Amino acid sequence: MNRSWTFGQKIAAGFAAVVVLSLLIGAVGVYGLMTVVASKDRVLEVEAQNLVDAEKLRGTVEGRSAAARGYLLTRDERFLEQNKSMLAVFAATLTRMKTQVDTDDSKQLLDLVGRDDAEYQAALGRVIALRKTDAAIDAVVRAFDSDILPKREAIDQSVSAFVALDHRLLDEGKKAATDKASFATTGVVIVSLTVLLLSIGIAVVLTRTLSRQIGSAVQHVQSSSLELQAAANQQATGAKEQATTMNEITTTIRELLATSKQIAESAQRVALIAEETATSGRSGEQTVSKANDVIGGIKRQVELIVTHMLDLGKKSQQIGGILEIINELAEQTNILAINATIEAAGAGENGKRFAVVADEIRKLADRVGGSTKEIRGLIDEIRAAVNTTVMTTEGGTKAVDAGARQLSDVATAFRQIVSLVSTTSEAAREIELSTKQQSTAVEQVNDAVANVAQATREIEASSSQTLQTASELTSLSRNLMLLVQSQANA
Amino acid sequence: MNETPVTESKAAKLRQEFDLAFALPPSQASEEAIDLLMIRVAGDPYAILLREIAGMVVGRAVVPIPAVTLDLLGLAGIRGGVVPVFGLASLLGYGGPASGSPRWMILCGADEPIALAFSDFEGYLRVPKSSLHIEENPRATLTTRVGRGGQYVNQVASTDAGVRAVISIPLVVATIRNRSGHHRPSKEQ
Repeated sequence: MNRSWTFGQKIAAGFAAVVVLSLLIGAVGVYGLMTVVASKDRVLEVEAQNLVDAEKLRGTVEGRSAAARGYLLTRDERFLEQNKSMLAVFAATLTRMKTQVDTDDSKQLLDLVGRDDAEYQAALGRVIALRKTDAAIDAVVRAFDSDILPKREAIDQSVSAFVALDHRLLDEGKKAATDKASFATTGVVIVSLTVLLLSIGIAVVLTRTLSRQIGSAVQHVQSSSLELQAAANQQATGAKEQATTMNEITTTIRELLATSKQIAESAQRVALIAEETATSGRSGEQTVSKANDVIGGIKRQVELIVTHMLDLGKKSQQIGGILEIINELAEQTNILAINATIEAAGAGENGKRFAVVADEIRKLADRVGGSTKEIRGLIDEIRAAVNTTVMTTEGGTKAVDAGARQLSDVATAFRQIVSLVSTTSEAAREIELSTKQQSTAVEQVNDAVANVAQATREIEASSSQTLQTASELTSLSRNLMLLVQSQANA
Repeated sequence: MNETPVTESKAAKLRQEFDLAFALPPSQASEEAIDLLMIRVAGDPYAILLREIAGMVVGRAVVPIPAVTLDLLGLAGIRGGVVPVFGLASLLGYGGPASGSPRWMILCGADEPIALAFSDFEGYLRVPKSSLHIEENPRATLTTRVGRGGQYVNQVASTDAGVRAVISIPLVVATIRNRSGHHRPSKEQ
């Protein structure tokens, strides 16, 4: 525990111990004085007051006796009043004395005084009553002598006994106070001697401890100063090497700065190219959008063609229906011509010319039938062509739809390209900004390195100063060691 | 684009032939010619001499009547009279009609006309008399050429489209009348 205390703490602890012992001395002295004063106060306040009160009792007894005599002689009522007031004073004094005394003997004597006074007061009452009865004065005097005087003497004796006892207690109190004063004086002397011895011991212990520790510390300082000297030498050498290294770092940082500037320029070029690419992408997107509109127009035209082709198919179907009617008419005409031919044949010579007409009608009907067959063939071809055209246009519509979807995909791809190029441009700007910040940081690092190089040179200079200071510290510690050792020897 | 001149020239040719037919006198050659009706019975080609029939109708409604033979298809109203209609296919031995009623009919007989119905009419053809040949044994030869109606065929006609069996309508009518109890020979026969 003592090893961890500082010098100041140890010295303060020594002084604190001395102060505590001095306070102990003071406390013992104060205690002794207070004890003596209390004994004296008791002697003065209790015992002396009891003596005064005893004398006061004696006086009141005398006063009451005088008042009784006065009444017996004069029969004046004022003496009775005087006797009564004296009796009240006597009773009050006796009561206070009972509260003040603290010994059994004193209390018994005061009780005896009370009883004697009661008997005395009773005797007085009887004699005063006798006097009030107009008895002979001689009888009253005899009664006074025989009844009151013995009681009066008894009170005097009991009061005298109490006074004698109180004198004895007063003497004992004085003696006790004197004994306590002597005890307190002896205690103060003993404690003072003890404190003196302890103070001497503390001083010796402190001196030895401090001398030993200071000596050890001085030895440590001496060895440390030697180590500091060696370290200063190493520091000077290290500072030189550090200065060389700092030069190399400065060169490297310059190269890094040049590289950062090149990166910034490249990022700037990338940003410019990305912006041009974004412009081209937006142009391509617009072109694709226009192409999509054109394809939408083509799709509408193709759908119109399909509608017209379907109308054409319907018309062809209607033509086929009309052709059926024509064919039916041709057939009917043919039958009519055949029947006419038959009828003409039945008519003989007269029917020959009619047969020619019927024959021509039949030929016309045949030709109409043949033409309707040709027309039906042509209509079938038209309908087949319409169907083929419709299918082809539907294929064209699908192709247009596919082309529109492809163009939509291309437009989406262009938008993605524009978005990506925008992202690339932003990234390139961030790279440019970051590289510029990096260049600034590298320049700051370069300045810091220059400052470090300057600090290294200063360290190199200060290490020489440290070396000198260490040498001085070594000699100083040696001198201090001599002082401490001589002080310890003394 | 090239179809229109062809059509116009064809129309002009037809118009010329039509005008020419009325401009020339009736040719003597027409008297040496024979008029044929080209038909098909159950898909087989046949020919009918125009002079052997009294008329031709198409698409008339035939009302079926109960009969003991399948040849009688029913009755039809033709030229103001009720005429029995017989199926030429069943008469020629092809059995009943394949699908539906035949829509073409020829009238035979002047006093008690009957109608013979068939499914397909191919057209009218005028051939020289020399194109007709008497067939001595029609069953032996015609079954291979024109189908199974050999009992009513006694002539064949050579045309540009090939040889056709010529159905003898009087023979058919006589057979029908014989089956129905008439033994009176027809005028044509």
